[in-house]
Amino acid sequence: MPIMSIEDFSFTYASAPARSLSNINLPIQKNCITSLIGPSGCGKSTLLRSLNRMHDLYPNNEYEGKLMLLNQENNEMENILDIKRENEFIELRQRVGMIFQKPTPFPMSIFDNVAYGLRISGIKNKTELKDRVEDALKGSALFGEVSDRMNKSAMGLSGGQQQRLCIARAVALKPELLLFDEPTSALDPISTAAIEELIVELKKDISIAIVTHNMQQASRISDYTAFMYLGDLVEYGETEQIFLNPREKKTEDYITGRFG
Amino acid sequence: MRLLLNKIVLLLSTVSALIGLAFLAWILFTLVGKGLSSLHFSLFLNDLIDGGLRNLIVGQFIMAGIASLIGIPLGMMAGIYLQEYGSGRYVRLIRDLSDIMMNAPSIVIGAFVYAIVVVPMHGTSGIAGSIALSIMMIPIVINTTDNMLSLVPRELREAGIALGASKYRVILDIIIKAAKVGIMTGLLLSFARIIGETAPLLFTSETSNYFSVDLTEAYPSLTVSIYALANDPTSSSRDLAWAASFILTMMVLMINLLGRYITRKKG
Amino acid sequence: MLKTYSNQLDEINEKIVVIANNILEANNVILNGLVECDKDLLDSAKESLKNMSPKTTEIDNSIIKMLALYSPEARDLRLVVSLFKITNELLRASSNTRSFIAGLSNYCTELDTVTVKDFAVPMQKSTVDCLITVVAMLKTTCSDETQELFNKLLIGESKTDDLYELLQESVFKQAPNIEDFGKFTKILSALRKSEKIADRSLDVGTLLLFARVGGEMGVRE
Repeated sequence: MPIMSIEDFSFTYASAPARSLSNINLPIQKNCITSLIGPSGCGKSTLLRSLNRMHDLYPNNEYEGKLMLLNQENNEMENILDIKRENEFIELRQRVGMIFQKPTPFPMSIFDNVAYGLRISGIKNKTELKDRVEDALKGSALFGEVSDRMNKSAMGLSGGQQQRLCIARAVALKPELLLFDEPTSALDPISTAAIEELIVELKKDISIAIVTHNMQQASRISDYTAFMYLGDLVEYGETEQIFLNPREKKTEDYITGRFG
Repeated sequence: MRLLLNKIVLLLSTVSALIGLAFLAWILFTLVGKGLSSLHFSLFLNDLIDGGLRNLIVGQFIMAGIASLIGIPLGMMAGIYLQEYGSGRYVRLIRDLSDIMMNAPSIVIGAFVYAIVVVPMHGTSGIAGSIALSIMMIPIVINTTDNMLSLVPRELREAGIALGASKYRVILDIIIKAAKVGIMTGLLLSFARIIGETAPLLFTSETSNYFSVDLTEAYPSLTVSIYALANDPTSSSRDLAWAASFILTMMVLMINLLGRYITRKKG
Repeated sequence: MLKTYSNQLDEINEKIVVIANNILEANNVILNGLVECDKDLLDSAKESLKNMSPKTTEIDNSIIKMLALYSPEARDLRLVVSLFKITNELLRASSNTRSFIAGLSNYCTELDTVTVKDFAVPMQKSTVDCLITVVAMLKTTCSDETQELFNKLLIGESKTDDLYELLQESVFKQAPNIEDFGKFTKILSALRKSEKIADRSLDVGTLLLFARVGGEMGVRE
């Protein structure tokens, strides 16, 4: 069963003349990495940001269709577009985390950064916080590098470290689904490789959706790939099939670099 | 040909800058010259009634302080509203109004406060003076807060929301902290601005020769007294006025320098 | 390097080593069979090389998948492409070995001991040495060792060639008349396979040299 099922989903930005996404049907499989690829403006980031209702930060956007998220307790799918109450939004975003393109460390200590989400969710016990922060940092392959300066400002870390910090911050909440929006496009190749390895590690416990404009990244790490173009989902399948034997000509044109 | 034009423009700009600087230097030179000679320690120990400036300096700070207590919270909250919560037409309207207020003639603000505070109270007071100063301060604080918050990258807000934080928590915990240095500098500079104002205090708190903590009466201030002393025919008064001007200038200069120092150190 | 990439590369290399070893083993059996002419032994060797084609096709498909998913560059690209061509060479070597066994089974009793002892056995021994060197080249990742082993391979293949020439002369001398000539051609044809297997070994070695050391593909030093 997929962790998320996108059903006939369409999206229009506030006062935009046309839809940015049209009738998308796409599963996000559990404990797998699903990548969204496509040329600039195809809607992949728009789709990703819908999955944790990030668009609701800005008013007057329009949704159509359904975004079904698996409720792990009763094994039923629930439409996250029905969420209206503040506390439900908070719960959603703790189950579905997001990592952005630009690393965004908060102006506080490394410890406080990782503990931020935990404190929001009500955890106050110092020991519990410490344990969970440590686990999260270990899980993001960062603990070794920062264990001796947990109380120093996070702004002193390098780009790659900052991004891993953001991942630790999200992972600390033990989310079910992690959304990555071009997480390595602002990083150097070595940091990129480290983060890719980290993401592959993470999929053991967390389902992952990643938007990337780097096709080789998608082919290297993802299990499933979705190719989007001008707001439509052109093709979806196992990564091996998409990169070896794509069914649609547009997909093949994009992958072979014939356009976009 | 273009080379010549370049040189001419460079020459003209340099000359203009030098002229401006020359005037500034002249002012400072005059102030230091005239003021320093009248400066002595007793000025800080005696009140005006005894030929000192103590009550005026203290009074100026107290009124500016009260104005800050009113102006800073109001201005910051308005600035936060504009940047974080407002949308569309209203935001533009409020921003424009704030800008207009920032450039309103200070004497007009003084007259306004005269009408709404002094008249009902049947007399001038330190309260009226503080209110006038706060009205001057608010638009500056709004402007500073608004601008500094706008410099915080959008992704930082989104990252906070993505962790499940509600909007106000993101603003308090993250955004303001991120803009902390800029806002603090702005507040300091707005304080420096109002501490040097004369016109708003002219009809509202006037001034007093005595040391006072009673804000319901006319209240001592350095700026209004400089005006009064300068108009007094006795030369000792005029010397005192120079000394007072010098001290006022130094006060404002110090606060400005402090602001710059903070920006450089923590920015 | 993503763990999965190097894991999969290792798996493919392992499978190729297994095939090379199979060919090596079969040729060892032939070496013994030349002397003893044990038909059962020869048959079992031929059996062990059955179904080589599906095995190499499977490896080829894995390699294609790797190219699609990992876009390897430089050393990685050279290695993957070399392995892709090596499966072909091994397939041919396996085919040559089977033909060798088939031909030998029919005619090994006809060969005289001198021919066998002085020429055929040393020739096949040289071929077996070439195969041993190839397996070693497949297993090493050090470029210096690769170069050393390649030099050894060059010498070995040349020796096999020389020995075959001598063998050919010796056999022709023995052909008493034209009728037997046809039979001896068939015998030589079988024995020639040994020389061909050595050639294939050299081709594999050349490809591995390209993969590990560099240069251009297919240029024999």
